[in-house]
Amino acid sequence: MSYAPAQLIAPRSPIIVIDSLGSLEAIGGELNASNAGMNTAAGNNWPAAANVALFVPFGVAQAITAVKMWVQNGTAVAGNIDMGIFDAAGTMLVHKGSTAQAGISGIQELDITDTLLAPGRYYMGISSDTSGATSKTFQGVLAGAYLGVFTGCYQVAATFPLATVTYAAYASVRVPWFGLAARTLVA
Amino acid sequence: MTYQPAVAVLPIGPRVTTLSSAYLQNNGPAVNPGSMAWPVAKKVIYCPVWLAAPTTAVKLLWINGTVASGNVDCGIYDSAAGLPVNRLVNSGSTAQSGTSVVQSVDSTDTFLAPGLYFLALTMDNITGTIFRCTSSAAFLKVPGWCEETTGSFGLPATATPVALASGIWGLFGFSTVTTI
Repeated sequence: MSYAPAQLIAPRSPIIVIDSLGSLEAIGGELNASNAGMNTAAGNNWPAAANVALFVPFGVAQAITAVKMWVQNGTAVAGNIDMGIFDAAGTMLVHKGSTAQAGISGIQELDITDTLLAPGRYYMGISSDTSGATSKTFQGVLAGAYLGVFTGCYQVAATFPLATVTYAAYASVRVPWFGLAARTLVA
Repeated sequence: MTYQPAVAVLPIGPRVTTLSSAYLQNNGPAVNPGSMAWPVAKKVIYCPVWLAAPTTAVKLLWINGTVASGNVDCGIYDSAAGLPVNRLVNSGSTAQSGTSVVQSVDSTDTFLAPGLYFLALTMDNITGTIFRCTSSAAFLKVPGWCEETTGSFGLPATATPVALASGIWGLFGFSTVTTI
């Protein structure tokens, strides 16, 4: 118990799962406000060229331990994916490594090394070595790539598997639906 | 003064914009953002944002529409009694450059303590466009948006806000990181 003056803010509940498109910890509020939609029937083709890594900002108000990452696959899976967590400077904190995309229309879990995240800002990253219609995931559809930039997303070319990066401007009109979890059961 | 456990709040950033205004997150508009001319030359539109944690604004930004023309001034104001008061930082008159892209200006790094602030944007013409969400003046007035039209172009040092007459939910704000 510590001492603090009264604050006019609501305490946040412990985080279980943070997702790229829906969580207020990520860009969920902004996407909701901008009316970004999602193709939930089949998913969309991978939103960037092969080996381009995509990064979505998120924050945590209380320390959590990330134990899993996940992505919602669409009606076609191919090639390999990788997911990880990065700090604000682009330093990779943890990633799974190249993993075959598997599980049509299901949530695919990637078990990562348990990683403590202190309160602060981070980025969740995802990359695929395959582009086009053979590899689909559910994705938020933006009115323009400018909304990815406006909400603080980044992308980096030639980053598969994931590694420490120098962030660069987002150029896709879609954002994959993926995230991290503080519990082992996601799917 | 009361006793209570420390309250955890989300860190601010990397962007604080008119889309991240907590007042609006649960009341999204009906359509995607579109390109639209500024409603009146030299009109300043103010959008409230609540910062629950300290942060530092390092860049000011907005989204240009499909036509770039004239000049933009973007900034941040402090508040009193729920209204914008003092300009804390602004881009100054900046030629609109690029279409359908985020345009940013490297501004003086400005520390912002927790509290209520107003994002502000003005344009010197009604030819250039910016992206905005469809809304209505009533929808924006309720959470605290307001406006004023200045005699000369630029964000005033001291705001003199009046009731919002425009439903333009322009997309502008600031970044807490330098990489856009």
